[in-house]
Amino acid sequence: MTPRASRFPHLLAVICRRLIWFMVVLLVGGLVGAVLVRVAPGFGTDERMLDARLSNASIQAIARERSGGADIGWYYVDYLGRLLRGDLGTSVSLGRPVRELLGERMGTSVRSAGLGLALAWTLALAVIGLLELCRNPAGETLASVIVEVLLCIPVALLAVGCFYLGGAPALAVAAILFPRIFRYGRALARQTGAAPHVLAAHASGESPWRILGFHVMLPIFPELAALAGVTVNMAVGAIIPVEALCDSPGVGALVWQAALARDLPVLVNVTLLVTAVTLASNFAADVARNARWDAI
Amino acid sequence: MKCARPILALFLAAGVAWGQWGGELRLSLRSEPRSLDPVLVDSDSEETFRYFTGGVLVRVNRVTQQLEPELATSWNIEDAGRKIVFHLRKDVCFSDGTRFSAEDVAYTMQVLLDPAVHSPTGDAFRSGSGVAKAAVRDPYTIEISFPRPVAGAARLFDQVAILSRHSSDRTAAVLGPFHLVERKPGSYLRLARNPNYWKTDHGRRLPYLDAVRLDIQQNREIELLKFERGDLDVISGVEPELFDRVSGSRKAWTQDAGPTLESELLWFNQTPAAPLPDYEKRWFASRNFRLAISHAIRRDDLCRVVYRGHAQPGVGPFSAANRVWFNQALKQHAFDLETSMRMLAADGFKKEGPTLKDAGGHAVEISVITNSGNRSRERAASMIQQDLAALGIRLQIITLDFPALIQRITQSFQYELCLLGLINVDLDPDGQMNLWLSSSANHAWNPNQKTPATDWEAELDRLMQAQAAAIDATHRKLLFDRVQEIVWREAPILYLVNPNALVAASPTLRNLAPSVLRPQLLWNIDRIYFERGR
Repeated sequence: MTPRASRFPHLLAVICRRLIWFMVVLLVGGLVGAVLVRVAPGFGTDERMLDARLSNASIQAIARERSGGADIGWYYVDYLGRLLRGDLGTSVSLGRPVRELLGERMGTSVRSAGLGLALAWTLALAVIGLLELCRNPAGETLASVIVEVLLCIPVALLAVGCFYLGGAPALAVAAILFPRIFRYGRALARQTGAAPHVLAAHASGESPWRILGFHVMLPIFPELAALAGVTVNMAVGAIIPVEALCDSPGVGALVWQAALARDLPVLVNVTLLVTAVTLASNFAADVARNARWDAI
Repeated sequence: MKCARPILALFLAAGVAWGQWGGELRLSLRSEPRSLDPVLVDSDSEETFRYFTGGVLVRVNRVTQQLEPELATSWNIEDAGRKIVFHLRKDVCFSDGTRFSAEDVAYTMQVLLDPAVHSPTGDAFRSGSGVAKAAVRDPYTIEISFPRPVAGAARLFDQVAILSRHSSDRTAAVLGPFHLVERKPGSYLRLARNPNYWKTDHGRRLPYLDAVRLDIQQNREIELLKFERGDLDVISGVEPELFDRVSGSRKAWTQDAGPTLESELLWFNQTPAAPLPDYEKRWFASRNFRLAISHAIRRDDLCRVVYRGHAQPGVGPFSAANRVWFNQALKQHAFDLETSMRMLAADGFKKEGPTLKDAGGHAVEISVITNSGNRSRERAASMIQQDLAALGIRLQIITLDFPALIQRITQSFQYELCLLGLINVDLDPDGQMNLWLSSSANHAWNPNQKTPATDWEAELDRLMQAQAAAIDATHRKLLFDRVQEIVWREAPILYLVNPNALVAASPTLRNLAPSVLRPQLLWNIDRIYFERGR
């Protein structure tokens, strides 16, 4: 039996354990989300209840309609049953199927988050590479100052600022992610760049590009891949306030609106979705971190 | 060339007189419409969409406040106010090409009055003793009967967009100037000119505009930014601060159209089941206490500081903008601390140092709840806090998001004072029926009463029911004047200010005639045009 073949049952067991863990966290995450919405002040109310034109019968009908989910345990079990049949329920604030609402908005959010991630990573890697090649203290200081300033600015302010400057939500996501990626990536690159074999490579007159590519960036690739997983989580977290503040018609804006309206069906579905994305990206990050290049 | 100039001038002049066809008007909706079904309209966004797409039998002219014929050429009241008969316009088609007739009106009424629909427009037709019924007399005559006489029944039809009985999609066949052609949820709605719209100008079908784009834009700062950038052509209901900012710009035409029918108001929780100490309930039940608070509020300062002069002090249920129903005899509760202190003293309150205490020695410390995110309202609360401090009353301001606020005022009753706005969409007092009837869920200070808690509330019930059934307009006015007097005297609700209608538009738009009634700037959308087609 080859070493690779002997690892297969072990790998299968790991994947199974991970999947079970994935399902448990997903279900608990969804339930916690539902409970939080249920206990939030104002659950079961609707602005229409203040409409002076409505009769008492209509107001009572609206109150009945909005109190769906009052028994949260029963609601969640029923919801999971419907979820298995592909029914995500109907939004109580927008009166439309949640599946449709998410479908219409998902593209915008994925595009914004994806572009933001790509922009942030490209910029961060470019600056890290440039600093590693130049080894200029002034450049290093300037980059640190910019990154620290960006880290100090609240996410909401970054989003509003980007919008006022005419930037798309993707730009705001990039501005939020870039300093975080840069800071971690630069620390890794600096540490690796100071390793004896890299110093020896420099001394032997090897090309700086070759040193950067093979001796600095390649060894830190697993850590960067793990960071990539974490930044996906960060992008998902950032897109909600960014879309809400920029009035971008994505899932983030929908979640914001749903939270203000205590829209249980929308919020439970989005909680499950975000939990799934978080778990998947964490899993990918763990795999990347623990990867053994000799095993590939 | 010499001849061409006068001809060109003549064409330009003709263009101005007739309007110029073409262009897309862009404006924003402040929330995503929950439904585009004209029957289920219950928000400002949906109202705007219905106004642009729906054809109605009669329309309240937003400037003159008079009823004008639209799809009905005339109407007459029969059976002592129990029946209204509309004579319909002939040769009118829906946007899908199907012909309009009395059958469509009957179908619309049937849908609207379905008790399972819970339509705010439909509820306006309901009375305690039954619902209205529609009967077709001939293809162009329809009769609507009410179980009891209904005063001003015709104006209810200003809100009734006629549906096509042939179309299951209620946005596909419309009679208004525009019809829906594209919807991107969360982003925008695009309306195109209705090719069959019945109104014409010099033989050519209106509207002048080719299209209207309604951007869904909840953030008012962003809305203004887009307007300044030229991405939006009009904004209605501009906040005073933003209005002053945009007024200085040469790129914008702005107008303060005067006080609206909207009111900023403050009321005291008088619900017996409220989880408040008994002594506080006694304070709020006291007319002297309520009036003392009212006289301690500087309404003029609220208008001047919070609304930057773009508001008028509130007097009662209607502002002076309602030319027919406003009671001219009433004046605002004047700022007068001496009167306030005298009234409080009459109830046993006395000031000990900086603190006002009741007869039982309880310090008067109360809280006011209001919704977060409304800057004008939050500032008004701060000013009221300072005003009441002069009486020795410590007022705490609590801002809540809307669902939490609604829960407190409609379910848990866990509040003392509430500061909120009231939007009157109807000029007629019947539109406020549910606010004044003691049995109503919207009787703000003490809802759902089995029997009226006070004599004056019983009197309000009687007067509101009587005015709703009074056919004689003068008698009706007298009855509602009396309602306004009782509200002014008893002060269950303190009317603080009536904000002005502030509008801004692109200077290239023509035929704009801002009104204090909604939709303030676009009520004559079918006649608005760009000076140069875009």
